[in-house]
Amino acid sequence: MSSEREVLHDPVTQAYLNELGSELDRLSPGARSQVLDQVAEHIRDAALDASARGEKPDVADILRELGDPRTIAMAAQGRDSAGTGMGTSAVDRLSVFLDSRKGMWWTIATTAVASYLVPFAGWIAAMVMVWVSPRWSRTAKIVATLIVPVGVLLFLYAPWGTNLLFFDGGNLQLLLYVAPLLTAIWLLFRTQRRAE
Amino acid sequence: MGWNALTATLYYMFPTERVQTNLRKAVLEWCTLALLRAGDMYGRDLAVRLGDLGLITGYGSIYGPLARMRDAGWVETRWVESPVGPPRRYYVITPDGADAVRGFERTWLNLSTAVDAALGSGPSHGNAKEQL
Repeated sequence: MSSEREVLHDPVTQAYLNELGSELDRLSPGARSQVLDQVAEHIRDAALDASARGEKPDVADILRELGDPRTIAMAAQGRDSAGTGMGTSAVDRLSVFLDSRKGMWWTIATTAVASYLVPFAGWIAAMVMVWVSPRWSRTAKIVATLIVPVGVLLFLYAPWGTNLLFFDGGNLQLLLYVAPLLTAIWLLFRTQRRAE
Repeated sequence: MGWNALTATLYYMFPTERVQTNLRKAVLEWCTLALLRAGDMYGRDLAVRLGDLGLITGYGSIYGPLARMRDAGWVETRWVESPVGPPRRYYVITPDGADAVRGFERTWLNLSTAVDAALGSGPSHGNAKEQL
């Protein structure tokens, strides 16, 4: 196998390209494959150039010169700091992280679980994550924020609410467990809709 | 240095990295077009040139903007046989791209003249020059 094929089929290269593909989730499939093809060609050309100089291509060096997949994805998706005016404050860094695919899953997981672990404060933390992240639309943020309080208000004050749920403390507690889960499902739904 | 002076220095410290990053990113596409105006280049060659100029730190950052420039009709690609392996994808500036970079040149000239004038008009102009 030629050196450039070895480099392209190296598991580390494949993992890098897979990660880049995941981070490019905001692009259309056509644009995503265009960027991935170009990056793969860069890797191949770097290996060929090294071989032409009589050197053995080093996968780690090639990937290092390309940079972090998330940074490439941000530049490709127009979410870099020039486009958004993001700086380097803690909030900006958190915003950049939460905008990534990993950050998106953290937000959904926190929304689903944090309220059970730390009642109220966990929900507040999850909502802060939702609002700080530029990934969610304003509508998604507003709906996500309203599900719990509106659920509680309906439960307590709607004439059919208490009858429907056989009002007692236990059912209210159940609602407070279920509502954050519904919020997480809503965010998941928005994610799937965006992917489509 | 007293405590107040130290905190003031830290608070008002010039955010060098952020400013440089934002300025570089703002001009990246235009500088890419300007390089392509001098001759067609394949992706890695272009990335290395931009890296040498200090306009990108990771070479991969150029491929998103290149895809956008292709979509905008400012660059197109063609395959060129390579003496060291399979054909390479070369990036070629289009007439629309050449017009765009000329427009940027005019804008940059006006802007840089204005910034130079503003920087030259302040009382710290002499000090800034010494530091440079």
